[in-house]
Formats: sequence, C-alpha cells, structure tokens
Amino acid sequence: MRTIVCASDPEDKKLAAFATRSLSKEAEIVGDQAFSRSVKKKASGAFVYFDARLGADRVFELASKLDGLDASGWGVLDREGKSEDPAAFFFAGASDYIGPALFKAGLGPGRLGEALAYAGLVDADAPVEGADGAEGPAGCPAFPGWASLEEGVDVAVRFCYAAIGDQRGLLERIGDKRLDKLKEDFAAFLESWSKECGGLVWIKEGSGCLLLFPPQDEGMNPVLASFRLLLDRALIGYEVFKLEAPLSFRFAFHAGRTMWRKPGETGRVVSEDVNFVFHLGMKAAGDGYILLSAEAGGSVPACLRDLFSPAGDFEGRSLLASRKFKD
Amino acid sequence: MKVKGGIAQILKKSLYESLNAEMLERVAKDVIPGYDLRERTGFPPNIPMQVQTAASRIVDDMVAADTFLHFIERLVQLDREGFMGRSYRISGLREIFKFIGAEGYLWDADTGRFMEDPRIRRTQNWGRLLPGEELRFSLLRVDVVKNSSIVKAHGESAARGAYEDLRGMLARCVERRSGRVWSWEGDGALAAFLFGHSTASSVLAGMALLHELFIYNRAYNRIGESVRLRAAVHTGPIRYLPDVGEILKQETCREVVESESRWTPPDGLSISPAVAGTLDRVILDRFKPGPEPGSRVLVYSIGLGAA
Repeated sequence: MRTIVCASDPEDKKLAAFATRSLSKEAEIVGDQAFSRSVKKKASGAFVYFDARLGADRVFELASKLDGLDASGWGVLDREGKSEDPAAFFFAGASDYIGPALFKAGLGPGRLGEALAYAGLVDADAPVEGADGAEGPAGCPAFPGWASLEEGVDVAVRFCYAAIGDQRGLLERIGDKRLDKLKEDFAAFLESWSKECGGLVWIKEGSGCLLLFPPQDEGMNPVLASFRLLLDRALIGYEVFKLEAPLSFRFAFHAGRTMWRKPGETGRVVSEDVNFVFHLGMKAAGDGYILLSAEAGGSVPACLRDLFSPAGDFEGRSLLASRKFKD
Repeated sequence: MKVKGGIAQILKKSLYESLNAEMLERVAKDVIPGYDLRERTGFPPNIPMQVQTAASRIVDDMVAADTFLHFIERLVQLDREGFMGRSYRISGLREIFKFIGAEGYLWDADTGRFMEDPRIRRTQNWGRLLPGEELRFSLLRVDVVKNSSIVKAHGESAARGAYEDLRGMLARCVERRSGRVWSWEGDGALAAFLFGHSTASSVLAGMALLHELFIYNRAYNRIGESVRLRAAVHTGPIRYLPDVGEILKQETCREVVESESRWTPPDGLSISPAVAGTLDRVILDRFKPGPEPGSRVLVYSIGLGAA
C-alpha cells in the first residue's frame, strides 16, 4: 500500500529521511494545501501520516476528508511531541501515532503493517509485509530464528519484562523461601509459555525476567498471551504454583534493538533499549496490567486494542496501558 | 476392566496369605452387598472352608461382577486403616497396582479410587463406574444465553460452528481437570467431576471456560456476536446410570440446572453453598453474592476496571 506524509513543508529533510527509512522508499511527502486540493486522487488506497506541526485542528480537518475514500487510513507523526492529547487522534479514527522517540529511532519491522491492520486495511492475522524472508517495511531483514543468530549481531526484537506482582505482600504471606521458590517456578513457567509465542527467557533478574520475542508474531501474539495470563492469574496461582495467596503479574513491552547473546551469556550486553525495558518494568509498570512503549504499540492485536489507552510518557517515550481485571 | 489370569492369580495368593476366610467374606460383602460365600461355593455351614478356596471364589466372583477395581480399593483401605482397631497387611498390593496400571488405570490418592488413564481413553464412567453406583459428584452446568436468537440472527450453520468451538473449549477445561462432559444438548451441557478435589476442579473448570470464552469472543469468534454463557456448579449424590437422560432426572442435576437458570446472571459462574463450603479461600474470594434477591449462590464473573 502507498504511504504519504502530509506536512506543511514538503521539503523537510528530516521528514523525508524518516519516510524513506521507516515507511517505504516510495513514500511521498506532500504539502497540506496540495493534499487538500486533490485528496481523493492522492489518498485513495494510501495510508497517510499527518505531520502534527500542522496543528490538531488542521489534522482533523484533513483527516475528515478521507471518510468514504476507498482503502485509506491515517496516523500522526509528532516528532516534537507537541500534541497535548494524542488519544484524541485515535478517537477521531487515527490508526497510528509516532512520537518523538519513535520518530528518532525509526519504525521497527512490522509497525506499518500493524497500523494498516489496525485501520482494517489488511488482515490482522496476515503475515506482515516482508516476513517471507525478504525485507520488512523498514528495510530490516526478516527474523531468522534464535538458533540462527550470530553472537554479537545487532537484532530488532520485542522485549517483555515479566514479573510476579505484589512481591512484598507475598513475602509477608508465604515467607522468603517460598517466594524465592515461586520466582524460580515462575521463570521456568515463562520458559515454556514464551516458546508458544516464538520467544525465550533471556535474562533472569532478581524480581522478574526479560523475555525476547521476534519482531513479528511467530505463534501466539505475546501481548494476547500476556493478557491471557492476567485473566488466568487465579487459576495459575492455585493450580500451577499451589499458592494459597492471590497472585498477580506485571508485564512491560518495548520494541527495539540489542546485541544478541545467548541466554545466560548476557553480561556484556549494552543496549539502550534493554536498559529502558528494565526501567519500564521495574519503575513504571504496575500489577495486573500490561504497559507498552509506543514502539511496541503495534504488537497489540486488533482484538484487544479497545482495552489499551495512552498512559503518559516515561523516559521520553509515550506509553500505552491495558485495563485491569477486577479482583 | 478386563482382568487377565495373571493378576487374578496374584490377588488370590495375596488374599490367602493376608486374610482368613471370615475376613475375606466381610470385605467381599462391602463390595457386593449380601455376598454369601457358602451359598456361592456350596460349602455347608458345618464344614470349615480352606482360605485358598474362599480367596479363589471371591476373586472369580469379583471379576464376574466387574467389581475387581472396587475390591482392590477396599483392600487398600483395609491395608491402610485396618478394621475394628486391628491392622491388616495385604501382601502383593504393589505388584497388583503395577498390573492395574498396565491395563490403563491410575490411582487417585484423593479419593482412594482407580480411574482410567486419560492419556489412553476417556469414557463417560471413567472406565470404572457401575450402573446404579451412588457417589458424590460435583456438576458443572453450562447454558448458552439467547441461543435461539443467535441461531436466528446468524443461521444454523454459523451458530453450529460457534457451538462446536464452545464444545471444544468445555471439553478442554473439563477433561484437563479429570472431569467428563456427560451431555451436550442444543445449547446446554453438563459435566461431572468425581476424582481429585472434585468440587474445586469443577469450579476451576467453570472459571477457565469463562476465560477461554472471553478470549474467543474477542479473537476468534466468527459470527460477529459474543457467545455468552451462564454456568453453575453444585455437588451432591448421584446414582450413576449409563443413560444420561436418567441421570439428569435426579435431584442433584435438577438443582444445578435450577441454580444456573434461576440464580446465575449471563457471563457468570455460580456456586451453591454446598460447593462454597469446600473451596479454599483464595478461590472463594473471587466469588460475590448473587445479584438476584433471595439468592444463596455466589457468583464469579470477569470484570474490567481502569488501568
């Protein structure tokens, strides 16, 4: 599908670089006046990113012209983070929002495909463009599988920090020895659970685990699988861990890049994204829900999107949070 | 269970090494009420009977009556608990267990009964219940909300597809916890639990079903309308009969159907007071009083709050 960036200044070099690097080599940048004059011709069968520097009112005005056009959708590029209410774009029908951090980092493979799926322009379950061994939409090679990765190469992955919730409360209820055993059992549980999503437990840290998943779904979607665990928390606590106290989990997702090392040999890994997801999981995430960075937002399957909403910023990145199940 | 000659011989030997004829007959009577050893052997009352003769006859009768497993279970109980303050050691039980395991049965320590190994087969009577046998079961009743309007709106074929999916979900949730789906008629189902912690298993199966359906409706439902359920769990005595229609007429079944239809809201799982009293606190705390005035059931449902 064609991609268009609609901006006040079609000559903007940073926009052009972003468009060719993250969207498509054929991505077109058009001025808002020109776009407005020939919207039907330009936007039919295209996905349009509006530059947020046009102002929210102008974005809404232009976006409303897409109503009724064949196979079109839209998102917002907010490279300066000036939008006061990004959720308002979604309420008006947007399918993507790219904040400053993501603009700077560039879109990961599959993100555009997720936005198209969100807009209903492609089947959400269909393989993402480029997943067949060719190149992804961002020009990234398709994921070759964990066993094929060479030590030290830079890879695009989805990170998930997963931990047992309310560990302080559990410590009081079951004591330190059983809590330690529970954390060990949880890590072992995650090993088999993550495999169903094509992932693995990469780093075991005192209170939780860092899991890696391929940039595109291979098996079950990891956000859907996490959501399921949250739903099943009482059953898992009682039947799997034989726990007589309530159990909860916390999940934090981020998408980015890291140097690949095998699990257990990650001591020398230096990665901004790894640091970020640890901070996200340990400082920002809470019990009983899923927190995602905007970079991982494309991992939310279409069937769960109404359960996620913007949740502010953390360390310069926009966040999305799921709703919580009531106890 | 088909009893091979080898295991029958081992049991006969075990019995005459472990018990006298009088005790053997007492155990046999516990399994087959009114069992009369002398009537069966033709020995007159005034002639003493060799214990080998008694053991042989009793084992043959147990095999013929299809109560071999029941007899072994009674012997295990005697071995563990004794009788009237006296202990009895039954020799060869370990070997007998091995033979029974090889025939596809597992020992359930919670109930002290054998059940068929679900990896080998799954039958409605767990491979061991006999017609007329009365036991305490836990029942999970499930009913589809507004079944007829779903069929009307989406057509019989589409609705049938959704119900087949639901049936698969129910079977997974039930059989994973050693239960059995006894009936599935139109829009309603009944599952029974006997082994392990049967009431907890039935409640957990009901909760798991609601969870599966929640995900199904969001991710996999093809009819474009949520399939909704009412589910209820109740426990009580049931006389097992091969005809499920006859089972459904019994009091405990009628009670669970009433609990589901009268007291359970859509998307809810209710438990009767008899069930609630057996649950661990960590599960029981998930249930709230039912919404209907006068209701004595507790209800579980999935609720979503803010992030």
